[in-house]
Amino acid sequence: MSTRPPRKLEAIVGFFLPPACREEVLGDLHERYTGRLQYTFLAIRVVPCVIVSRIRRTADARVLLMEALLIYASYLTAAWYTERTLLIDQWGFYRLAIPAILAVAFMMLEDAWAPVRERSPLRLTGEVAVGMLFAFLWMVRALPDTLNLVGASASLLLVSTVKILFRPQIDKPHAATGPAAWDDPAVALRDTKSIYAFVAAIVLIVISLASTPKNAPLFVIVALVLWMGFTRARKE
Amino acid sequence: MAKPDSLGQFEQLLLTAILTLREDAYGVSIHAKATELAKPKDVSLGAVYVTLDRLEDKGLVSSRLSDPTPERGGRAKRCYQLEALGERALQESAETAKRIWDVTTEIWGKEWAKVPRKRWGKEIA
Repeated sequence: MSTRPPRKLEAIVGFFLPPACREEVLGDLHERYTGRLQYTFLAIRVVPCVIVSRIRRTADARVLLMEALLIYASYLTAAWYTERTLLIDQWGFYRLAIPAILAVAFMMLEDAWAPVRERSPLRLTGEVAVGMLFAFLWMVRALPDTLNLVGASASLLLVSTVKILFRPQIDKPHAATGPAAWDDPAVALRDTKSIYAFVAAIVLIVISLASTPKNAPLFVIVALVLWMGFTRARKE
Repeated sequence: MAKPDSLGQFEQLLLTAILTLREDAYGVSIHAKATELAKPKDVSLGAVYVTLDRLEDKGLVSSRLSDPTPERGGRAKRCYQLEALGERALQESAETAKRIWDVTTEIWGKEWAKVPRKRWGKEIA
């Protein structure tokens, strides 16, 4: 009997494992190999745990929530200008939330499967583009084309900005002798403040667009809140 | 200096396994040691990976990739080692466990204390 797992089986398991932990997990499974069936069952039990752990390490719930809100706000605004009937439809608001859920889930997996190295702003924007393309294609039949296109484009612009400002945690390795980023009160406080400022600004944008585009003073307030929130967060 | 968080039972098991295994603490060996320590409970390899990641995020352990070995199909091991914060957290947990042991033995008597010792001895053998 062979003492090593079949290459095809290993390749399949390796495909599902995030690259950051593929090497050691495949090695461990190889070491525990006693038979094809045992290997398969062990892999089925281990791989989901590894994926969940990787997602937990790379995903930041606050940034994800911010991205989801931005995508939802973009689609709502696009609906206001292109397809207002959707906003008074019984399920309209729920339908407009689907792209946000899909895109955020896709981007979360992209972060987990990303290679362990510094990612350039261009690469981060590319990842957002792929996520938005996924949501766009998924919603092709469910939403009018213009709305879908405008919503996805606006989301791409806003979410890629957020992604560059709040880099995924894979780019900030944790110090072995210090607390993790989310356990560090200074970091947590700074992030929370900037996120509050950002969310407040987005809410104001949506309200001002929804009320009347002529409402210029409100736009000025929005710009001020955005500017103050970010500069203050950066200084801290 | 940072104060370590209190540890869960499974975290204590893994830290103890890493402490025992020293240089040879990696996924499979930690799992084997944790299974031995957790008897009669079963320990899943997936749970070991999840908890090791969490311990690393908390700064209690650190990891490095070793050289590839042929018995692992030419793949490297991720070796773990206890950090100062992890050692302190484990010491605190051991002290708490010792205090619990002392109090329960005092209340339930020395005869009771012999029962788990016998059972552990039998299971380990």
